[in-house]
Amino acid sequence: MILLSKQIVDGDEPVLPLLDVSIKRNAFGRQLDSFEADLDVPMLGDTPVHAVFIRAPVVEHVGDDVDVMARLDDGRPVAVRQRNVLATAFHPELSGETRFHRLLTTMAGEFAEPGEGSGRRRHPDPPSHDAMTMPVRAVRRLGQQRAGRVRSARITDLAALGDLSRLSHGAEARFSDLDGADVDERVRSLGLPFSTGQIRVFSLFRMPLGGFGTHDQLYVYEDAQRLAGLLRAERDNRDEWTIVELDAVDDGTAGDIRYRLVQHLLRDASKRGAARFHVACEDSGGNVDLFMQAGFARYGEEAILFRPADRPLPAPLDEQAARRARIRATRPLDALLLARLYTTVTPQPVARLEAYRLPDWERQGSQWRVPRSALTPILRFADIESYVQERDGASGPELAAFLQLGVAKEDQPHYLKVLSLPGHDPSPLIEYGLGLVAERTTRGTGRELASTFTAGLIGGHAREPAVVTAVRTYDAPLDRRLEEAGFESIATVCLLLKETLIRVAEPAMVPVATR
Amino acid sequence: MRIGVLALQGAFIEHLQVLRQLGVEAVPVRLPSDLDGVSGLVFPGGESTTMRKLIHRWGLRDPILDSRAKAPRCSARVPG
Repeated sequence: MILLSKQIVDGDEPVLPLLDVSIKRNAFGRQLDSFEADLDVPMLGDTPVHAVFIRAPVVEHVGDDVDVMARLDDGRPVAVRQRNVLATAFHPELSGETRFHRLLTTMAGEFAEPGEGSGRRRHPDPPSHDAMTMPVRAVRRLGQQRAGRVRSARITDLAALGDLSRLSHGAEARFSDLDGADVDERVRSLGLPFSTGQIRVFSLFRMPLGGFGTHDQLYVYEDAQRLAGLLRAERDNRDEWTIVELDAVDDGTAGDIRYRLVQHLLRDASKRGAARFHVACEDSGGNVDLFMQAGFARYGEEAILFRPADRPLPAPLDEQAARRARIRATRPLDALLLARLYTTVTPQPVARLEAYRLPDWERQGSQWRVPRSALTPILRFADIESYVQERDGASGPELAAFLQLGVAKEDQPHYLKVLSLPGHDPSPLIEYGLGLVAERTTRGTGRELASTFTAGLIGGHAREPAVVTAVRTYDAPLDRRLEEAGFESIATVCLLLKETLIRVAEPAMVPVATR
Repeated sequence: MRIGVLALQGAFIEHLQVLRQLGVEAVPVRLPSDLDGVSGLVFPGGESTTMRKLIHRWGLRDPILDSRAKAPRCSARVPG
């Protein structure tokens, strides 16, 4: 709808001004980012259309030649038609709705018929030759073969990988000193705070060595006897792969190198049975464009909140206080309740994409990929615990909040992830989690070393460890509660996902031949 | 009849599936040459800013406008 509208209120220039409407983007506001509604569309029959709105635009003004096909209860148009253009503010393709596509097909048929009706005319000329060839030439240049090639990394690459990694981290540090430079001139990377200068989870040495593990894949781009790019992906037990690093030295072709690395991964991983690919990245340096061109769908945004090491942690809560606040450790039996809590706090389209299953929640505590966040890769090097807070619901006790805690085993920040019902204040649970971090790091054996390293790397002199957490945009006001607990926002990252196979929830229902 | 689905970004696979389910020949459109012989074009919902960049980058804007009187098109929402 936005692409086709003639006017975008407070926005950019129109792209393809074919529809005489003015549009306001994201006008339903943050709380109403996504919603579903049953719409009456008289043109399509009596059965209402079930419409899924995801960060939908609002039509502010409609031109005289535009028919409004459907409105919300408050009268705002959400489906319009002008001659041979049909536009909806919702996703007809997500709810099993076929009538809009059928109508479009009918319209295409009508307008394609030569000389039919006075208001319908065929385009007089085919698109001109110039218009067709110029862009194609540009495309060919983008995909041009370079001298280099992508291959799996070998142990002998370690030194070169070290250089590449050092370059990317060094460049990042240099630019963050200048403050405000968001584009790294020498190396393009995913821009995740934990893989670059600021937190340095993946230190120089562990990064390449980890790449040779059985579950990781490390690809390099070799160009005239040097390594110009690297991609590292981790795979977990659900055949889901997560791209955690994608760096390329920028001599003007970093975009090409990175795109080829991603394509190589997609091809190679498909052969190994990968079903889904995840990546979290900063929306800069062409990151999001690159992944979208490779077929990734962007489904969310997450704020990374960081609690510096120099802020003292609250004292651990004792057993009785915890019981009074109704906080307890999770049990395998909580799976159903946890799944319910997750679906309550997560917009349906996101839940559909993330597609957690009950067994994922049963393994809660050891299966650390659920619930997923941009930071879950750091949990590989942490001890995971999880807790819930109960409250009395309409039909007996229910889970009001969930806490996942990753106590760092290596020099990285501790991890904390909270899910909370919108009307619930999870502050006691957050404080409980921070208290546990304090307890584990002062009493645990062998962990003092890790926390000292962390404090040193983060740059503070305090011996308290740093804690990091991720909050989805729709989790508000959870970010406020975390800020009250001493966290501050350090980055916003986009979450993207690509599915290569259709997953079957119940394999028994599929004929043997197609399994 | 052949309907194109702009396959630069967003939920284009779902649109292709719905159209094929209706028995329509649905083709992904990535290059200007993919627009040949297409009677209609679907713009899937997605990030409008990204989509704008990609439309420009892949040189699709003018070919789409050139064939506009011929091709009806549908767009499912586009947020920012």
